[in-house]
Amino acid sequence: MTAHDDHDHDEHDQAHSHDHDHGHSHDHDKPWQAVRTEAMETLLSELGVVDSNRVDEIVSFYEEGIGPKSGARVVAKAWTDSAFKARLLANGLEACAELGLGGPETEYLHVVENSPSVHNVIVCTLCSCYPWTILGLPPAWYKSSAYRSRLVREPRRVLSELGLALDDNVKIQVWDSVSEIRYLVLPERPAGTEAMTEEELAAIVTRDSMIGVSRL
Amino acid sequence: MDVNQEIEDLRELVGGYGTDDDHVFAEPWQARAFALALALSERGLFSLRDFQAALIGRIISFEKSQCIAGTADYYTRWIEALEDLLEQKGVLPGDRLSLLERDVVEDAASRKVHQRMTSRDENGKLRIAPLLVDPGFI
Repeated sequence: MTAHDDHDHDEHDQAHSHDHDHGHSHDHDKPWQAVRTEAMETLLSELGVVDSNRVDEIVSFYEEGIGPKSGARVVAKAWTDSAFKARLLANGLEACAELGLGGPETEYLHVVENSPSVHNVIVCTLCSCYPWTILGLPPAWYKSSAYRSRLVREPRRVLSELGLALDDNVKIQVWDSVSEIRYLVLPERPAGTEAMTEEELAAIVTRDSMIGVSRL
Repeated sequence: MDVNQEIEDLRELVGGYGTDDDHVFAEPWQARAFALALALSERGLFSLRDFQAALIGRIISFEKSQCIAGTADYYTRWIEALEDLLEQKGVLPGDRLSLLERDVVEDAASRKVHQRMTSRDENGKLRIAPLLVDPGFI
């Protein structure tokens, strides 16, 4: 539901007369509020008035309970229910919907499984596509030019810099998220967790392990 | 008052207007606008109290003719309040903001075109494959 058409603009200063397209004719994905907020944050950051890293931290403070925990539930269920895991790997979106996750605008979700010899990591080289209905909001570093350009050139090194040192014989697969396909990493279940309940397992799954910049 | 306490206070303010299911923010821009306001107040640009006053002003104004029916309505008021305060402090120079907005929109549009081109094969089927594989030491 949008209140745009009734929006009262009179009090807005002419300095930022917004010509934003209420009809969203060319860009359905970006409501004018998103454009405005992004422009404001960029400007304020350039002016040195705000630090985007701090904005990230605050977002995480509120998102950590919501986003990553949803993905963690998916992972924990996949670990304990092999039929679910098979469905998850076949069609990520439908499987997540079984848990009530995702939404009407969720694009296709593809889940990629880590193993001792294969490590998966996700990036969006163009912007910041991310399975946010499953993981919450993406962290600032995920959106950074550095991560987005370097991960696809030298993944092993970037991962190592981020604290994940993989053996040389481990294959790394880099998945580039686009608006139509989002990716989620299914981390390996850590050893010694055989006795844990699904709930306990979900508590140990981290957001970074589902992006692929760390292992559990 | 420490920052986390201030955050909790504001959280109550947010909670008062209801949330969709168990999502604190229905969309990313809402989280960003929310956090931006907090971060700016931490830096001393305005106090949370000032912000709250601006927000309430916008809500009251909106509610003269409409209802806040969801988080989008609510956080749009949030953005308006932010803009009000930033103008008051003389922080938003000229038309820099609208120029930036134009960039944001154009960027998003051209990325979309590019992505559509790259995510499907010639038959229109979704192309699911890793972009890069580092095979490791064979």
